[in-house]
Amino acid sequence: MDELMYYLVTPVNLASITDYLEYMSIDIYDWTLVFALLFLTVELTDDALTRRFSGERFFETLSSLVTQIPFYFTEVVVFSVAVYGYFTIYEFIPWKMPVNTMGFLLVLLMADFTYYVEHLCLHKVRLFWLAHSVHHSSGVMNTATAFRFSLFDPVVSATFHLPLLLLGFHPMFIFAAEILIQAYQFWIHNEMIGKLGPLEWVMNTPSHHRVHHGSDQEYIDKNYGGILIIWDRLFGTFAKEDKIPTYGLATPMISKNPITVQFHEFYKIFRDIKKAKGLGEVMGYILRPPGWQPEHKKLKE
Amino acid sequence: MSLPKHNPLLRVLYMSLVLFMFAFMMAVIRMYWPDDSQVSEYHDYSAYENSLEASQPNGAVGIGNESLSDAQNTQNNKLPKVLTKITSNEPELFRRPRFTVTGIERRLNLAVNMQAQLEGLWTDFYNLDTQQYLPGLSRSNKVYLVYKSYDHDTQTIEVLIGYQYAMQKLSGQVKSVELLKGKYIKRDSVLATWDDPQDLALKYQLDYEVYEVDEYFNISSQRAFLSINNGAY
Repeated sequence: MDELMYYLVTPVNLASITDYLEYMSIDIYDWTLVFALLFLTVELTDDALTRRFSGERFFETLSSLVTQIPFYFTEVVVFSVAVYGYFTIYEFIPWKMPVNTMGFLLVLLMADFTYYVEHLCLHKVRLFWLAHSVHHSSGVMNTATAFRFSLFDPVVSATFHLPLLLLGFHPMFIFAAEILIQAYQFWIHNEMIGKLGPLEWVMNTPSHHRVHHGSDQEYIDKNYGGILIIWDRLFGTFAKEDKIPTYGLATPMISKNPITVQFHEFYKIFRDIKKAKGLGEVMGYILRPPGWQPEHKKLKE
Repeated sequence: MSLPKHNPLLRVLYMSLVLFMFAFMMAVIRMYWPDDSQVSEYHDYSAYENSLEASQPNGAVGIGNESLSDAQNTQNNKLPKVLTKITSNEPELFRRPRFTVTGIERRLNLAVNMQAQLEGLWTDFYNLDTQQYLPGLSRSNKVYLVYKSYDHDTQTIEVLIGYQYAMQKLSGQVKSVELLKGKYIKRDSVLATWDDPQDLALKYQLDYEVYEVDEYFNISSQRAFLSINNGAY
């Protein structure tokens, strides 16, 4: 088995832990994509055998996969800029965290918390919701939903991880942790796996994440965790899955058009801002949670 | 609460795939889990030098009585400072890949000033015209020192200094050596470990050190990989 693994993973001479993390995280991410395609194949076959398969579900799945194309291009550009920027800034930071295994485990834990905070902000700040709403706009919950991203998502992620850099963590540690947490997300977007016993207490699971994608009143803005669900339990944003959620946005987005999928929230915010009275309302529409309205508008309704 | 109806076989297959994925990913993570030594304690050059002065090698092969600063005085001030002390006793196993190191080689005498001989070798390699002898290679930040062909009678050893680089046709003084894939123990110094192997099952055949260096060959980290007998550990 060791021999097989030896040839499967990148056969390079890894002289330091940062080299290792670079290759390992990229390997992990590549392999995750391979497994994700396998999962999706099983899910679609299951749809066909249980007569759940429909044009609606197929095109929704296809639409999710297509979002990867613009996402990929911005990811390449943003990630390149982030790598250059992070390494440049790191040189100027006078304090440095230890570059060793414990250091990486610490940054992984902190990156998971960062993911929680970032995810919370993606839902609570409409500017960020412009991007993240793309991920939530599917009415189908399968592995393809995990691929459903906005082309602006990479920008948000690179920004939110800056505090870890300022704490003195090595950029390669931060990128590797970010990639591992992102890779973890691929297996929790499905309806094939039920509850997982004691794992549900600590880990983010398919059940917890189905809740996160629910548009039901009791499920909205719940379960933001990345790998661990403890952050939600600690900060009161946890909800247990008591019924199968209704997936998608509170106001469903039914289009399968890739351009509509990417920009439907942009149209809505533009419409709101156009009607805004003064800078305060404009800022409210941009920085307050989705659905926020000025008082005078609420009274009218 | 119940999930939508699924084909039981496909569900089992799906869950098996998930379990396999986690096992596979764990294996990927474990396969090359590295040493903890980015050797940050030596990253700062002055700290590195002080640490050497504070703890001259105890029993390191051939250099036990030599002062580093004396050796340095005889050399260009851009010369590297080679760490020869052991800082860790915990055996750490690594599976290292097969690759080729190309550079220059000398037979060194373990009975005389080894530090000066090694530094001479570094100087020669630093001055090597890589454009001519290693065409197509830009200077790498990783330099390898490969120790081989130990002769007990003459107390000599062949040391090759070079980059990870393979070339079809060698010219002039340039030589290549292929490092073998297999299990290695990680230490700081090959010679120091050979001299004091404790209970390690060393092969004493072909061991090497990896140095991370800057453009002037100032060393920021040093580690040694010593091949061990199959079945050990």
